[in-house]
Amino acid sequence: MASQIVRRLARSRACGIFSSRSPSFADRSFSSDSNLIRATLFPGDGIGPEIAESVKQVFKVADVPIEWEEHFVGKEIDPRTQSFLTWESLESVRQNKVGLKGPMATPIGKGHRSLNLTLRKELNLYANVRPCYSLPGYKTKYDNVDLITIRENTEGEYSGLEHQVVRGVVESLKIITRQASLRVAEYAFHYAQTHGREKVSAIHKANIMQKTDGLFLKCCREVAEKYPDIKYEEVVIDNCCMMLVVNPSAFDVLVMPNLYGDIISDLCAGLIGGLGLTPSCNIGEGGIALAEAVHGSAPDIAGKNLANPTALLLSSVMMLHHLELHEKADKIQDAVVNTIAEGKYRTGDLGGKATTTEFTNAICDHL
Amino acid sequence: MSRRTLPFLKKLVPGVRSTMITSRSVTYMPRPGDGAPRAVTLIPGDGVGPLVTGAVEQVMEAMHAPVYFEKYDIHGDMKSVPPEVIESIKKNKVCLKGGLRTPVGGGVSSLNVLLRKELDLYASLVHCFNLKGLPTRHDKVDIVVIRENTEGEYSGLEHEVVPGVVESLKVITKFCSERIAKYAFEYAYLNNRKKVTAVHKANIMKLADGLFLESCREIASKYPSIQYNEMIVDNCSMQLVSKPEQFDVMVTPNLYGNLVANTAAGIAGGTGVMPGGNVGADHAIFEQGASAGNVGNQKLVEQKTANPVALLLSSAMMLRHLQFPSFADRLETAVKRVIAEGKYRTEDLGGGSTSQEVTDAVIANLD
Repeated sequence: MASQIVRRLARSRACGIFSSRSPSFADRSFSSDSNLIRATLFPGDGIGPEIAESVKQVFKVADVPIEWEEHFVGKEIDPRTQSFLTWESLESVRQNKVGLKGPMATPIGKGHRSLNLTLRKELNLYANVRPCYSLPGYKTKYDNVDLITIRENTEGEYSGLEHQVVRGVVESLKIITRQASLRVAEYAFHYAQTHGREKVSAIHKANIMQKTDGLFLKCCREVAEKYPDIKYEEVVIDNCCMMLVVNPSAFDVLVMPNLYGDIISDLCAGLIGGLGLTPSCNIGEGGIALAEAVHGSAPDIAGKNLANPTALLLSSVMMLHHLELHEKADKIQDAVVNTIAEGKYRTGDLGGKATTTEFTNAICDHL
Repeated sequence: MSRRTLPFLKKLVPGVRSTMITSRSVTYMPRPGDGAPRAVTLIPGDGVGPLVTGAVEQVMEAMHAPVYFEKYDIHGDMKSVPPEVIESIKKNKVCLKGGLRTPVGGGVSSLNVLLRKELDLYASLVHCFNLKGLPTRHDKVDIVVIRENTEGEYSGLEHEVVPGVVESLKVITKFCSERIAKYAFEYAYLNNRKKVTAVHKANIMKLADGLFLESCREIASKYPSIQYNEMIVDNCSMQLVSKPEQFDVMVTPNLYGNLVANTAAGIAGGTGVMPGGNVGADHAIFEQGASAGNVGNQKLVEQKTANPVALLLSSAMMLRHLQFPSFADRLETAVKRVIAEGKYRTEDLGGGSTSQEVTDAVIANLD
């Protein structure tokens, strides 16, 4: 926890430098707190609406100047977006530039794109940021985790370009472009600087995939030169996996292409206690930030007031950081962490017996 | 059969200790001439390779094992494997390798990968298990990772489409997927393993990993007594760091296998102790199971503190493969005794001994 305080001080110092340097991430005037910021909210399915209510309650008690614009997934396919998400929902995120998304279950069927894919492609969400830090009070086998995984979200192995060459032989294309790699590397270093992080590690397998991961590394190196006070290293992915399970404190910020990012970010989520506690935020072109809870919609406990809102709350904290409302963000984060650390009110998945509302009220009390 | 008589004996003699099970009660009957020394190709390699292969040579000598080594000096930055080495391996059928370091992004294909392709060693096996006396965060780990070794993401087929855009081909064929699935189930059957898990990402790479899964399912139907299940690779990484005891044998395509093997090695005690090998229809190469990052580590080379345990256990695997079971048992027992004692351990296990000290301790502990 002490390291977090140091980071906050470093961040507040860095922010002064940041806001003058790159206007693209904050091209709106936050002149005073009396201006309410509009943010899009997708409550989602299953336990989504309940945990979204928790977030709204906590934000109200914490006096956060956010005005929610709620959108729901439609029952029919919108032909303009080819999916269950309506055009209005996407426009709303594009205009507001921030959003919070609960868990969405993609309906099974054909003729429409998956919801996550729609969001990603339409909003051009190029980086997925997942901070993983050990929650004091919720003990896992790993105590000293404090790292951030930044994953390239648009290309790489997940381009979806596969074909059958002849019967029994399938090819799948992995695409790495200079533009996408530079973009995510820029964001990674920028994030490291604004959050007071000391080291960025690029994860790759360039000894085998020399041209593709080699290009990714080249772009990372170029960006690293522009940030001389942040340490930069390159780690081969198998070495990284091994070190993460032996000594996770060796890593700070990790930046990687799509597939490795998927695996490593889930591995890190496993280190701290699972997807139910992990926040996540997707960054898009033009400064769009869509924070989301990455766990499933848990239809079996939906509507029973048993869900754990921690992941969505911590994701909303990330959203507040993006909006530069750092004080409010820190207050809410501390409240959540302290409530879990205290141990009196914990939901079922953390080993306790509290309901969602009891847990939320406890957090509000801690504010 | 010894298995049936032992419980009967236990009932007669209530004080029979479980150590009776470890010693053989029915003997291994060789054919005349089986004791003639077998030639094994030895490739010390780069970095710590010569140190650890030296350890194996010393121990084999001390045991008077019926094995003699034909040493060949090749290094990771050579363009290709010299033909006399390939000839030797084809003649001897068995090889022991220290480690070949691939220069990162250097335009030279990995010699490790070239060797495997040339000799068609299509299965890579890594055995990750807890060693008594070695403290780790997870107990009850006993995982064998069987990884397809020739195709997948490591096909080496990359090209630059236009400047700044690079494509890499991942190739999956039915032929290779079928034979690795066959090997995995046959291994499980011969070693009395209960469960095989296929690791994949078929929700995204529907054709490629879908083909892999199809082959696994076909073979699974031929072994009804072995449990079979499938797990997505990101979920698998999360499960490995939280509940590794649920895994038994894992069969994976090339890249995922690399990551899963290194993660499993990390949770079971580190890559310095896990044995492994590569096997094909006609040849086998034994080497350190998961060798992430060890080979080129300069400090280990200079201070001569590389951990020889992994290669010693791999050579025990080799002795068993060559059908010298009592030598394999003696070597394995000696190594386990040294680890359990804890006096002689190299740096990666938390001790301060040199490779030579550990080797001497193993020789001293030989029956």
